[in-house]
Amino acid sequence: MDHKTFLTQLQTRLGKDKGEVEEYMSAFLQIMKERCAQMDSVAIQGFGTFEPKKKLERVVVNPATGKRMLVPPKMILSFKPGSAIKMKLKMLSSK
Amino acid sequence: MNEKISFPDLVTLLATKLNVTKKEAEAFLKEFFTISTEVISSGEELRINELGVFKPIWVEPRASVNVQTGEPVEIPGHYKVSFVPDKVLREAVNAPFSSFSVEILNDHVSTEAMMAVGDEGMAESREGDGSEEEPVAADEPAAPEAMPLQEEVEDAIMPETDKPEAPEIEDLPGEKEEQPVVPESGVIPEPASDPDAETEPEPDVVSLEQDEPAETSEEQPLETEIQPAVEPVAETHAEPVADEPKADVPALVPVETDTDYTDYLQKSASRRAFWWGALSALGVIVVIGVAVWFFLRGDEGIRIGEYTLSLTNEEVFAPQLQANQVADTVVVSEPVDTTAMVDVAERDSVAEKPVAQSEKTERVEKTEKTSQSATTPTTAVEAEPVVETIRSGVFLTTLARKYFGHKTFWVYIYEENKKVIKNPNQVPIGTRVVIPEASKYHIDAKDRRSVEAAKALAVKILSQYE
Repeated sequence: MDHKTFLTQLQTRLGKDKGEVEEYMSAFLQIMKERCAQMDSVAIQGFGTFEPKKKLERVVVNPATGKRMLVPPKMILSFKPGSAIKMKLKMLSSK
Repeated sequence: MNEKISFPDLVTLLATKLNVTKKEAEAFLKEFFTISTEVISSGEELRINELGVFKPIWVEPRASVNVQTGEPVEIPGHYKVSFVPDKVLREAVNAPFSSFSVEILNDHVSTEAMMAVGDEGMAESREGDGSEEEPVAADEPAAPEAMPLQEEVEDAIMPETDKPEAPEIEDLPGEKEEQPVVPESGVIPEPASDPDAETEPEPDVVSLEQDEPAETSEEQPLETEIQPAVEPVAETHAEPVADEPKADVPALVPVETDTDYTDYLQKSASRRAFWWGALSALGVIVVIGVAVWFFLRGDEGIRIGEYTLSLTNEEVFAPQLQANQVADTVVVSEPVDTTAMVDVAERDSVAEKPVAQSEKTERVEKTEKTSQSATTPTTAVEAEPVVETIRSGVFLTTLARKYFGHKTFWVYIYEENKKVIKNPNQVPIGTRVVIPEASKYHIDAKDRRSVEAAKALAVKILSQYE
């Protein structure tokens, strides 16, 4: 499901018009961005947890050229699915 | 920082941001996550702009082993959710580290070079002016001293003369003998503190014999040295004439066997220190003794000369004593004293150079010697170009550190020897390099600009061999 269909579905469920939903969306995403940039993790019950993680620098070798490269340290936003999603996916796989 | 934001917190944040009631914000977020959960749970990919892509991925069942029981277990197939944050979000999170970029490491050559440099440093520190410096010291004194010797060839060739002669002149037995001395003198310098050195003045009584055995013994193991030394002493006191030849013989024999100069180098520094002290003491004694002996004895030199002739080796370490004695016949009794003095001076100069290099505390000896020594020999030493041989454990960098005080100055050694050195990273063992004068390239380890310039040059040179 892409962004557009997701928004339309949200519209119909909330009974609000497109502009309003987009306003909410952008505000929510703004909060997510700010908070994650501050190393805060966002944990939503049932859905999952967004958590910024620090990855250490490492040396990798390009197998094609054999060149060794130093990958710098970086921050990555990881997502860990919550219990609800896990449960449903389990049921899906057991079918 | 590192806070955990829960759903209610998120609702509050959203409400304050949009100036709406919490209820509305909560309704929106609830619906948002409900739909997301539904979509993802249905195994469908969910793409939200500026947030990222959630994608359930099917993991095939695979065999595994129960760690505790060791039984084989099959992990059933299942879904896992992959989340790839959107570019905007990813960059926002990674902002603190955004300045970094992937860097390509240099290939093996450069890393090896780096390691080699490190090893050298280690080796040097371990050895502490050990064997490496000795050969150098030997080389330096040899050339310069040859000149003074030649001037006073006849006078110079005293029994005790330890001055090194130029290797080329092999015609005269005396000269041969002198060569061997060089290595000895080279060896001597390192040990700084010698108890013996201080006691030097007294030993005059001991006389020549002691000196000779001692010198020979340097190259040999300790045990042999001690024995010969003691016996001759006693003899010499009783009958100076007869004793001297005898003393020479024992001394010479050991010397011949001393081909393993390298072995000696590896021996402990303490031993070297001892011998250094002993040698210097002996040197003084010998000079005095020889002077006395010359006065008393006129013809003995010939006899000694015979011994020397029979014993002389072509090896570098051939005994020097023999030649000196041969020469003795030529020498007039009066000149002897002066020559002896010269010898001392020369010796001192030889000693001083190595000392300076090793930077050990030979102050006591140094001062003594310098006071005695004439200035001429030292100046001669400086004028001569220094030639070094690359060996295992000796690199351009180590040479640079030894001669210029900083390893970065290897570039100038390289510049000086461009013809011989093809690749500064891999100088073949056995290569003979000329160490340039420090003033030629404005080398000064204490001057930061000089060091910086050398580093810049090093980068330039190395870039050609990348």
